[in-house]
Parts: sequence; structure tokens; C-alpha cells
Amino acid sequence: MWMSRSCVVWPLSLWRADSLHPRWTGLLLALALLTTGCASLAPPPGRRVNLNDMPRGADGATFVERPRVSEAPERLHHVELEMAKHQAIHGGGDWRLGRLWPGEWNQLIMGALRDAETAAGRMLTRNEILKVAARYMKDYNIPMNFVSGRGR
Amino acid sequence: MSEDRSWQGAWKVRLHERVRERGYASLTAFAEARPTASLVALAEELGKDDLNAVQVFSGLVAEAERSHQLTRLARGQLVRELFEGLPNGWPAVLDDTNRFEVAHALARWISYTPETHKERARQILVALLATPPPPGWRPLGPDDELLHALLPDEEV
Repeated sequence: MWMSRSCVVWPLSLWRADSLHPRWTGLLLALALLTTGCASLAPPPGRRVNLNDMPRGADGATFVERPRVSEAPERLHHVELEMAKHQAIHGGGDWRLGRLWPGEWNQLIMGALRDAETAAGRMLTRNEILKVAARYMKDYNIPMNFVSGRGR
Repeated sequence: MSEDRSWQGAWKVRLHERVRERGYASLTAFAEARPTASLVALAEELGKDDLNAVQVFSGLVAEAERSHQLTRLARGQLVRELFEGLPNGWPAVLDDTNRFEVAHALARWISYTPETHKERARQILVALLATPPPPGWRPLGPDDELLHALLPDEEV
């Protein structure tokens, strides 16, 4: 695992809307953005991102299915987040509080996605999940100026 | 867009200083004077670059816990989410698009409802979908009659 002063979390758009699991795009954003330990996802500075790298569970299983590089769409986005801010949104400035803090990211966004699906009476589309996530990013003052991976 | 500094320094102190500077005795009083403003709008008014919406919510919960006004806070937050999420009021017909907008607003409300009131909020979500309010319903404050009926004060 490579540790960085800043967190780089990706991907946002590795899936096509018509891929098998479009709904997981936004969920991965929500999860990967702040929960999976961004250090493990961060490419070392100055090196190219290996699009075939992806988060894995404790059992080594891949987190979700996604296309291989040759099938990936054109754009790769990532969000950079300072470690201090990353910790703050989980603990409200006091890392030890973790999920006890009422504004904890995981609690807010994951609960909202579940409740929205229940209320909608169906699975949310990829764009709807991203819309939910984008609103919370605004609430946390997390910038949404995603950077194209090609520009790096 | 200038850089966000909302997590730098003692944000709780900063939050309450800004409220006092604007002539309010509490964050709750500041927010109640703007009953339909979103948490983001409240945060931007208090400190565009160094406070954020989640911090405002956290501060409101802390004050409501102390004053036993959590139910009123929950009603007030539903007002804010509906005002932002359903600008034309409650839709007359819940087609697929409308239903997502309603679901989104209500789900956000539940996420910004204190833990003690979350289950009650989920029951209200079900009730609102089963028996929709009048088309165009857009409560303007926590004292809205229908809101009171859905979530009456219970704290002493």
C-alpha cells in the first residue's frame, strides 16, 4: 500500500451507463471517496494510474465487477482530498468520535441511498446516485471539480 | 472557487462567533429566522469559505438536544429539504421522475434527522407516500399544520 499526504480517490466514471452494474458507480464513489482508505487507491505521484487496479475486500475478492482497461470509457476522474479533511468528515474534527458524530459521511450518504431506494420503490439509476452523492459533497464543501485522468 | 477552509481551526467556536456577530443568541435562532434556507445557504451566510452545511447541522442538533427541541428541529429540516428539493411543492402526480425527487428530498431529510427520531421519520416517509399531501404543499416553517400533525412535539 502506498501512503500519501493527500488522498486520491477514483474512479468516478469507469462504468458506462449501460454496463452491468451502473448503480455501483455512485456507490463506489460514495464508498471509495472516503471509506475504503484512500491511501490504498492512490497512485504514487508522477506515475500513471493502472486502470486495472481496484479495491479488494479482505478475502481478496474484487469489490465490484467493472470493465477492463480496453473496455473502459474515455474519461477517468478522481477527487483529491487532504487527509485532514478526509478525517474531519468522518469525525467532525475529532477523529476519535468517528461514527458518533451526527454529520458522519458514511451514515449520511449510505442511509440516504437506502432510504431513497425504498421511497422510490426501485433501484436508483447511476445518475440518480451521483445526484445524491453530489448534494452531500456540496454539504461538506468537497470540491466537485473532478480532474480528467487523461490530463494528468 | 476559493479553497475550502471549513475544517481548519476550531470550527465550533467559529460557528458560534459568526452567529453572535450577526446578532443572534443561538444558531437555532439564526436558522429559525431563515426557515426555508438550506443548510448550505445557512453555512454560506455564516462563512462561505470556512464553514459548511454539515457543521451547521451538527451545531443545530447539539443545541436542540440541550433545549429538548429535537422534534421541532426535525420538522424544520423537512421544511428545508422540501423547499430545496421540490421547488413546485408536492407533485400532483408521482410519475417516475417526480417520485425520485420526492424520495431524494425525504431521504436527505432522514439523513439529517437526529438518531433518536430516524425511525419516526421513516414512518412519516411511508405515510407521506401512502397518503400524499395536497398537490403543491410546500411548508414554510416548522409550525406548518400538516407537519405538526405528522410529527407533533413530544418533548417536555
